[in-house]
Amino acid sequence: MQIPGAGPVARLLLAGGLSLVVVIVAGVQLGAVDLTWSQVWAGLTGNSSQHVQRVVFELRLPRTLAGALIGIHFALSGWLLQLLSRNPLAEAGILGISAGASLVAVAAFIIGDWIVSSANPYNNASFALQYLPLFAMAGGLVTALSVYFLGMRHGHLSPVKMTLTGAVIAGMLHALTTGALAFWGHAHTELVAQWLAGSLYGAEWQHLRALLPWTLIGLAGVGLLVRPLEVMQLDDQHARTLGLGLNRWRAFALLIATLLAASAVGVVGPVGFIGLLIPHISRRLAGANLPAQLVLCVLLGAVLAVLADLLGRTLFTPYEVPVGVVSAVLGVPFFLYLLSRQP
Amino acid sequence: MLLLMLLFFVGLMAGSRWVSPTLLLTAMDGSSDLLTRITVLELRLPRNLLGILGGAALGVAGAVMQGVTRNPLASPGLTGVIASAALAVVSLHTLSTPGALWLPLMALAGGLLGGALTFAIAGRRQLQPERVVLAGIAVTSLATALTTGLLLVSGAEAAELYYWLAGSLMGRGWLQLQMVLPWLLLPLGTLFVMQRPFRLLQLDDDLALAMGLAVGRWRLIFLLLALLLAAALVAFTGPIVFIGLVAPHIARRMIGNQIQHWLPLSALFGGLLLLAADILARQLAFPQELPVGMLTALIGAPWLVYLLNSRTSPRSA
Amino acid sequence: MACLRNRIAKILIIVLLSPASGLADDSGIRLTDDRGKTLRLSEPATRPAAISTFGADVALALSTPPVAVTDYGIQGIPDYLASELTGVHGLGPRHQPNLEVLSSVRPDLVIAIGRYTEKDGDQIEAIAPLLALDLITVQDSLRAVELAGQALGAPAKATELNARFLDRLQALAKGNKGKGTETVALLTSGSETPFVYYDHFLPTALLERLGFDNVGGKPPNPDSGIPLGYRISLEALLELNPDTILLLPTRRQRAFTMNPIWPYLKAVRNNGVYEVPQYWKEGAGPIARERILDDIQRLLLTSAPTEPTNDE
Repeated sequence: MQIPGAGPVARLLLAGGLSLVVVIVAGVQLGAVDLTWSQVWAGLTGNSSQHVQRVVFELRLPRTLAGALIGIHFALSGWLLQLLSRNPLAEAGILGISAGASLVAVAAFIIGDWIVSSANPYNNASFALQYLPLFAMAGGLVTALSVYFLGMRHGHLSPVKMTLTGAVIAGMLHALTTGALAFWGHAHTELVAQWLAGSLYGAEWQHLRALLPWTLIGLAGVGLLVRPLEVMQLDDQHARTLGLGLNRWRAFALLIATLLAASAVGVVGPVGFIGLLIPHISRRLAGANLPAQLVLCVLLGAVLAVLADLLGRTLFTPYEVPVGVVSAVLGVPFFLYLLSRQP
Repeated sequence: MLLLMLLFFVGLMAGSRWVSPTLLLTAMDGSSDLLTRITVLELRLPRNLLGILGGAALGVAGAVMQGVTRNPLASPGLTGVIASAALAVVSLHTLSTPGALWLPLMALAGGLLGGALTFAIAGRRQLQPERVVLAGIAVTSLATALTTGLLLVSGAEAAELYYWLAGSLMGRGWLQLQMVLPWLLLPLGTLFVMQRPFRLLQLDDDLALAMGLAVGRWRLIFLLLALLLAAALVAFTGPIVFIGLVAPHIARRMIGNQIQHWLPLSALFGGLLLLAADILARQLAFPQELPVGMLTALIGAPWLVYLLNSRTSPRSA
Repeated sequence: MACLRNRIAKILIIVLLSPASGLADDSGIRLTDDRGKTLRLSEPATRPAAISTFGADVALALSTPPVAVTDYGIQGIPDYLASELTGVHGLGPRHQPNLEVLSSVRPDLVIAIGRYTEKDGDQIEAIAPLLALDLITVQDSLRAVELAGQALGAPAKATELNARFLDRLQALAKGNKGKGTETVALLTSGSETPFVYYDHFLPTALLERLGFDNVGGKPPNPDSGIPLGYRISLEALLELNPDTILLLPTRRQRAFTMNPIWPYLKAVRNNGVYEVPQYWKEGAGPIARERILDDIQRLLLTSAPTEPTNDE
């Protein structure tokens, strides 16, 4: 099957894949502590001192890989949502997913402070923390579902209405979150602030294990969606004549986007910009070729996240700038540039 | 109007100590005890005034934005103005020790940047409603991300700044009112003088041009004024969202076809809403106070969702 | 008479704290920290890392300088320890200590403030045994010093530090008795509404023991220790009208001092507003708490009126 422009696209994908590899290697090699190549290699193969082993294998490797995964999650989620709502400025924050997850996360901390039945509060607090990803994800899901249902008009999903409703609800949840944090969260403010900024600090293998199933589900879902999405790009009427269960596919796409975003937010907190920026770039580079866009989103999303995290933790050692902030700072000028070039 | 007066008196009475009407009277003519007199005159009076004026400012800002862009969803909150103004203030507080005079200026600068960014992203020619809102959301999320990042650096001050970011009228007295007054009154005054261009802009662009109006320039002026109102308020109270969006809508419901009443009525409802929210904020978590931003969000959002649902002629995708 | 009392006090301290203290048996030191977890050290630690000021404080007080400390972000390492901590590795802020740097300094003990490290406890424990402490009340401080003493191989010195502190407290309290009860408030924040601390917070608890009455009041959950206080409107503060107001430092201009009510407060009219140093906020360390007593003595207990640091 001859796909027009296969040459350049293939080169693009190759470049993307290569950058990903480079960035991951850099992520393991660079960090707050200086290590030589041989030390890193020894760390990976298990022949090194405890310290190097720990830094390479327990700290940097899981963190870098987790970064790649959440990059994929957010980028794919944003891509789906932009296609779904036919609006190039959509991403998970739009549906209130991040806001819902944040509110639940803050609530979990606060309630963890309240439930003090024993003399040892730490039992209860760590309960909240262990299940934080799950809670946050549940929060994100509930919010997305509400927005979805509120976004229906005459029984069909109206992308515009959904987006606007999402914006309103997200705004409300954000205000509630800030208010709750301000009012009740005095003792934990710094911790929660770190989470709310979207941070990979402390990411370990268990986070990866928690995240990976969702990545696989998401990728599978997206794979299934490629054809229907191509059809959905056409007019609604056109699409219906092709015998496609529009509503059902839309719902499915929304579900996948939500799962991807909510699971990522549950683990690292809300990271807004990746989902906004990466789909734009991949559209620019791959043109109308949806499958190519998909792969580019995966690759570039991972690259941006890992790169942002890497910069964040090496620029101001020992301080760390969270990945959410760095990606925003990196992303904005680029985003503006992209938009200014739009016809 | 009557409702406003009533609320005003309730506002004077409400607080950590309930002041009865008779006590109120004695406070006015100076014959009550020191505590009551200070509470009523120094704390609650200016606070309520600030609530009314601030709410009015937000309502008017929202109405102006909605009218001038012909976009029922434009408002300081949804166009990224409030979030950027807040970001500017937070950065000022984190990175240096600001004098009180700098605050409104910084907020203004931030709000201007944010608003400009939103409209730039939305594409100046068409200013399609949804595009504006969505650009605004993007700008807001960016500003929020940067603000949260800054809070991480501020260390022990973070709790303070979070409290400010939740929006509150607590502790705002005559001093704050005095400082914010020129920023609010000047634009309000200017707007009331410029009623005719405002009304014209709400018509079709071509029609307005035909009637001799320099559409682009006036639009810019109005937007700037709206921005001024919102950003100045944010500098003193912290971000308070949704009032700029909801008040104009309520006003529009009430006026029917008499468009000339839209601005004043938006002001009225804006003031009413903020005052009511503030009174609730004072009473609900007695003796502590909830941040008023939380309450406006709780009140405003469901209303908006209802609005979105009841619009019979939606703008098509 | 006083001698006997002191001795009984010292015995009482040892007896009361023994459940929390460790058993130095042949297999090393066993300690139970404030999380309820048990730490095992084969020998006393010589390279402690401090996540929070207490760790650095107690390590220096027990003559085992820390190998790494956290700080307050932009505000840096607390002044009162800064001179002794030059050249010590920085770990970043206390809620987000840099794990790579922590690993590279190879500590054999981490002394941390519990409520900020509970999230990453596992990862810190992978590097070194973690002694997580509450550090909110006076009891917390005494117990923490005792535990640190065990862990750093200087239990006798730790007990002595505690005993000396309690003696001093007692002496000051006796000296202040009969002078009437002065009310006091400890406020923090730079915004329009101050945050006032409850009675259980270490500095306010000390004030209470010395015969002052903290207007912050009793905490709603005495078991938990959190929250440390609440936001108080100036109306409410006016009602409570404390005789003295102590202000924690802040980099911002205190907006609530510009509030119209401020000049009417008794403390303000009588020049009873003082700014206290940053270590009041984390005063559980042996050096810090002695300094807090110094400050209280200097500002509130001397009979001759000293020049107050009136904050504008």
